[in-house]
Amino acid sequence: MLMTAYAGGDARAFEQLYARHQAGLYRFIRRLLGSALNAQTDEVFQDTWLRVVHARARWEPQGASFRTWLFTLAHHRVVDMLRRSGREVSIDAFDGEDGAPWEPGVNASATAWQHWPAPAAAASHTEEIAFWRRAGEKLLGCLEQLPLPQRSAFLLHHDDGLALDEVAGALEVGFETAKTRLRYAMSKLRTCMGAYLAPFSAAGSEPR
Amino acid sequence: MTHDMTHDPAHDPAHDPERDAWLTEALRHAPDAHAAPPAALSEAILRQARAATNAARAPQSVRARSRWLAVWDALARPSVAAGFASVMVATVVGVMWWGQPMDATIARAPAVDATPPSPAVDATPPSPAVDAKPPSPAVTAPSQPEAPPATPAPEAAVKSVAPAPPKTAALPQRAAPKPAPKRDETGAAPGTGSVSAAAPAPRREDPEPFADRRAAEEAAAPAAAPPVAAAPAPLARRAREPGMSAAPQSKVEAARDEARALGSAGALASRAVPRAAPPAALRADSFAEARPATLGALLASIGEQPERWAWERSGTPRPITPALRRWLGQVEAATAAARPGATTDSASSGESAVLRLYRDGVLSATLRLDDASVGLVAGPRTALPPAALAALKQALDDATR
Repeated sequence: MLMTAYAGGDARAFEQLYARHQAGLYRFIRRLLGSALNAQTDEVFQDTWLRVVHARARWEPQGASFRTWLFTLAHHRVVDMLRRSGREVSIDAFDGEDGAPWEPGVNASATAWQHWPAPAAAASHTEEIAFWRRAGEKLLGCLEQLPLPQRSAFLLHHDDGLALDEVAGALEVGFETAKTRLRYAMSKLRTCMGAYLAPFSAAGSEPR
Repeated sequence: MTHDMTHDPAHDPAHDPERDAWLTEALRHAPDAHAAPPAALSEAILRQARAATNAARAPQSVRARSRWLAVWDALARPSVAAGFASVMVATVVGVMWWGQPMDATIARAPAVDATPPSPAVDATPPSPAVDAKPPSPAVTAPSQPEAPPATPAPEAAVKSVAPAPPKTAALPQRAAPKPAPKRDETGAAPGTGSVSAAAPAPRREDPEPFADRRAAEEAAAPAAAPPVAAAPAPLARRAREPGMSAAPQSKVEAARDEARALGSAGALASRAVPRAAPPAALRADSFAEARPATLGALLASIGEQPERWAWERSGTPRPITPALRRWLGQVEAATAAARPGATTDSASSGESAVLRLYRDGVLSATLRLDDASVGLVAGPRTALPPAALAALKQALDDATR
């Protein structure tokens, strides 16, 4: 509705859209680009919004939400930026480090992840915050090790809260493909994070 | 791209088994979790978005403005501008002439030429009285009154009391003619047996002079029938009516009508006017500058601009009057109807009546009427019967009283 209003010439509608999505989009672009291209975040972010501005006349909400469309544009811009920077961007969802398709029961690291320890319940609040901050830092590092398709699928799903079908729509892939990419990403991240969090394995508990 | 997951529990986002709470929590506490675009960048994006909406509105006004500019550019092209200016000039001229009659002579000219000559005027046959009378100087007329009377008219023309050129038809058209078939006893075809057929003799268009002359001749010489007794009565009536001068005609047209009615020269002038009005006007001016050599020319000049003329008999010039103009027409008609060869170069030594005519205060012509002839002092004189001369004198006295 807001995008339709903006396409009709209502500048305030765009301001509302921007206020609603600017933080998540910025974070998504920043994490997709990684630390190596962190400086390009602003450029990609601005380019994405300008695409929205220029494409307002062609905006037709055909089943996809504005958010899905917005992240699709951002994903395209990120891919372009990565390619311009000389990085090889694989669009193969099954591109893993080992090159083999992911199988939940076979992956050994998955088992380890299922038992990933959380901070001890008795730990102080400060310690808990420190724990999750270190986990967040580690997770960003693990994310950079993921292929771009898996990384984008995981970020859209876990950070921006898109459902799997929306993830598939944003990445312009099939539902199963998106699901597979997500599983690969989670498996690798669990393995990566499980190794990091091993010293904290005192008592298993769910994150609060 | 999107998939319908309403029937597949595995596709239901509510039962999303892939969402890992640990990883989500770790992401939420990541160092860049609160990263936001710089304020300047946000402002720049919003500014560009607003500019885009403003620019979308602007082209509409620019488009409307460009339409006017296109029209203006089209009008500014030389060819279009010239055409537009021509139309404007034509409009201005048309407005200036709005309500004014077109040159009436132009419209009448074809009718004058196309109308066949009426036997009542063009070939006015001599009345039985005239026919019975032997050719006398009174009824003989030179074929060209303005020209030296060297060429006598044929015998048929001699019988024609009222010579008229074959082309004259204005009078029958303007007034219902009174045919005078009884007078056409010579059997000559209209327009062929008259003097006018042989030479451009002056026309008889105004019945008034002839009516007066008929009265005079009837009084003086009962044997001679009035030459144009059969002249159209309506025209004569019209000429007599004072309201005629107030008719809704332009001044120029009225003057032309007067000239046409007063005499042959006037008729000649009016006949020339329709074909080329400006040259005729020029001729009239140049004609007036010089002294009129003939009565016809004098009448034409007076008919064109009567207000510039005055007459004098007893020392005080007075404006020329219609009565005097009718009298001049009478004289001219009488001299035109006179037998060819009846001209004389010398005036009689007897008692004479002198009429001086002034144009713009300058003596322009002197008409002398003695007991044997009548004519301009500087021009040829025409011998007339004593009775006719007496009638003319009487008429002159009446007109200049």
